[in-house]
Amino acid sequence: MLRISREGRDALIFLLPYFAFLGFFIIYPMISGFYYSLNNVHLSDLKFTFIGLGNYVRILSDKVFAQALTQTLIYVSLHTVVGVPLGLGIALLLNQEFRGRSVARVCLLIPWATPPIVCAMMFSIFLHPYYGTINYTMQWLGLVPQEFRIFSNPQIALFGLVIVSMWKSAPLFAFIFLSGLQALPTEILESAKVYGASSFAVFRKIILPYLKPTLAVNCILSGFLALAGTQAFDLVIGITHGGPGYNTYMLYFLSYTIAFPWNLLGYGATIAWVVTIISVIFALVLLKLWYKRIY
Amino acid sequence: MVKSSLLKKIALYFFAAVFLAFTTVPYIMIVILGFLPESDIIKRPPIPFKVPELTLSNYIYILSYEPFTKGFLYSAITALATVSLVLLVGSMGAYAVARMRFRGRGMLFNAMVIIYMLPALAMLIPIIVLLKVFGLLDTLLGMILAHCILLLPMMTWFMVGIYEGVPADIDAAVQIEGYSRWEALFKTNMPLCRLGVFLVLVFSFVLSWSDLMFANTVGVTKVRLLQPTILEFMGAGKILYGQLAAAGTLSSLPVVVLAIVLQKQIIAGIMKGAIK
Repeated sequence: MLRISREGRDALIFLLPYFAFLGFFIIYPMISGFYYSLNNVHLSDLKFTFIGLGNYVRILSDKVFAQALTQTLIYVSLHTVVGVPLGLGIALLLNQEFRGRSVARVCLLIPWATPPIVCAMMFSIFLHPYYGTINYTMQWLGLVPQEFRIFSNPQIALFGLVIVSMWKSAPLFAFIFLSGLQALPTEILESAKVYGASSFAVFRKIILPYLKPTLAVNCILSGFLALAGTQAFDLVIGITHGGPGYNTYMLYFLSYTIAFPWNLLGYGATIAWVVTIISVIFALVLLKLWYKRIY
Repeated sequence: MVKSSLLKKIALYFFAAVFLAFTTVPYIMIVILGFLPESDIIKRPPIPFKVPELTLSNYIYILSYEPFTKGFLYSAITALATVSLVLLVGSMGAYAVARMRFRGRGMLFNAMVIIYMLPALAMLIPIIVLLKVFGLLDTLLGMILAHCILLLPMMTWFMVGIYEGVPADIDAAVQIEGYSRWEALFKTNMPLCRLGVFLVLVFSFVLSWSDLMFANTVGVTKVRLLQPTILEFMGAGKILYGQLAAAGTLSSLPVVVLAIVLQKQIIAGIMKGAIK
């Protein structure tokens, strides 16, 4: 006989709306998404044609998929490798005492609050080869050639997207680092200074070890944002639309494009499943590596 | 000694200035661009290399352009409804996980993290079909439900951490005094962690307001939210940068103003580690 305690019953009542939503809108779609990936489906008539693992076989020989996968991995790594240290730098800067520090902290909130599509619009204007202020300034300083095209150059378009995403992501990482820096023991810092430790030594031997958990959280967040978050999708759809050619296609955008404009729901769902599996593995590894240490 | 500290100070202010330029200049520039006539924008050199004349025509056009004003209204309704729903449902679930002892609690706790880390893309395609089957595609209700997918798992997980911060003794004490669990949640726990809950509200509002993916697929023609409207603007045959900048400024204004007005609470909340 299954006996439920009073507390268990109460918990169930409190959790019921959450479970109901989860079941209907998250678990059920996830599972049916897998079923979709085994079929050919069109949105217009919703006719399912069962093709087994056909879509998965198709992925293996799909050149665009391979390209999008590589580009996604490049994007995710650059987003983390550039963004997290940049966020750390900003946090260390804003942790110093200087006049106007509180204003500077408020400025961190501006990129965070700007909708990604507005951010995409902003940088596609400012990096415009003729009329863009940033691009013009770089040309004026002689850093780049005249009419320097960032987003229509296959070699650098993806890096352009990484740079734009830094504007939105780095301040967020900085915030989380700043909260981590609050936990620093000031006595140790003071005594290190008294004994004449260099700033670099203080950073490496005291600050960095204390920031390790925060560093982990930021890496999780960065990977999550770049791979599973919608920010990269918004930037791609807003700035390059995957172009030039397929040079800024990423898995998220590829799945969306295949499913909606091209109306191949089954194949789109297959790619969505691949993205989900990669991000779950990614999340599990990071959680195992780091959450254990934090809590 | 004095010299090195002066150098340090100069370096500090230099980097602070670079940082300020990095975060604010692009945003300020887009605001300014909205006030420039189109002919000035598409002529080299760009601002600030020349002094342009200002005009209000871009804003006047955008504010009388119906898809934009309608999108603004729909976005506001969707965001407010989503935030309320997430707060109610999420709070109840999070409180149960944080405070009550029941079988499978540990498992649920772990499952919540995984669910929160699932990409929204995994649900996108089946959800569109589900909404279509129920006739909810292109309706406000469908849009609100879709935005809850984006927010509920994440915010519930955040709120578990927030409610765990309230000492269990307080919770037990008010229930001995005769509060029901509902009263304990809404009258004691929620006010006690108002900073954290408040942060969840702001985060939810910003995320719902900024969402493009669901907004663009759920609302195809009738319920066109603000961000897809901006995207359409950008994809138009001949892009008018001045109007685009005005539209972008206006569409980011609510969230940016919200962030600046509430900066004290937001920063205090993040600093206390209310959200991990």
